[in-house]
Amino acid sequence: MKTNQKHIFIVDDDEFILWTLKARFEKENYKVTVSSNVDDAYFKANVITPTIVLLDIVLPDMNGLDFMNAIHSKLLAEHIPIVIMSSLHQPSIMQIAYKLGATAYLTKPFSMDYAYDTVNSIADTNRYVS
Amino acid sequence: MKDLDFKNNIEKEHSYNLTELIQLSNGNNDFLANMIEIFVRSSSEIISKMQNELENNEWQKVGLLAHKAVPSFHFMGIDNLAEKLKFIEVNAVNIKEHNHIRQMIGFIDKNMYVILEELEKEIKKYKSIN
Repeated sequence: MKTNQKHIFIVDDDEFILWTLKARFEKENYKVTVSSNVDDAYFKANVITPTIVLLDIVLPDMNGLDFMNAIHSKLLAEHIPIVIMSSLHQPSIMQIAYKLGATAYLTKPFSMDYAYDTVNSIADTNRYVS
Repeated sequence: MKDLDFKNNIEKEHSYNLTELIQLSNGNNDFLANMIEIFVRSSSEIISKMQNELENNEWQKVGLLAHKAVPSFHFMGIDNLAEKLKFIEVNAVNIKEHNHIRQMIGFIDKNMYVILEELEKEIKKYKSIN
């Protein structure tokens, strides 16, 4: 059964950023699933169907872009937008992220309000289009 | 004179800003104390690892650790040290900057010692409010 509650899946190995993002989205009544390593994220990505994914691209055990590539078909098939977050500002990395199907690219550091506004507007638009 | 300069630098650099975290907490002091604890723990770990990697001349790893630290330092309003970490991230593999980076890491370590002491007081303060 579909509920109106939006569900975000946040993947970041930085525990502090992960929990601040979780708190920010929970404040807006999002259901939040978090993961701080690729194995856990890969497992969760295959068993949950979030409204949107927020993914850090420098994870310790695998590059986030490789992870994105690995779960890409499942997310695309389910029309789940992926927002990349990173403090890497190189256009070449952004290009790869977009080629792999990223909907947006948030460069760190960002304020939690900015992250929320950006992600939420994408989640809303995507739900409307879907 | 040098001692005085160093103390002045510490005074100048050892500020943090909890405004965004307080906003995010919605008045939940447990959350605030927990988040500050996470920052204290994770930033101490990162700086200690950076120093170890520095000893081993693992410059790429030094850069990666700096990369990981930047967003949470910015979020905690420790912007001056975050900028130094950003410099280390970008220049870690540049051999010409290695001496400079060694000094920067020493500077960050000394300043963080003061900041972490202050943050420990904040943790006690927010725990005692409950």
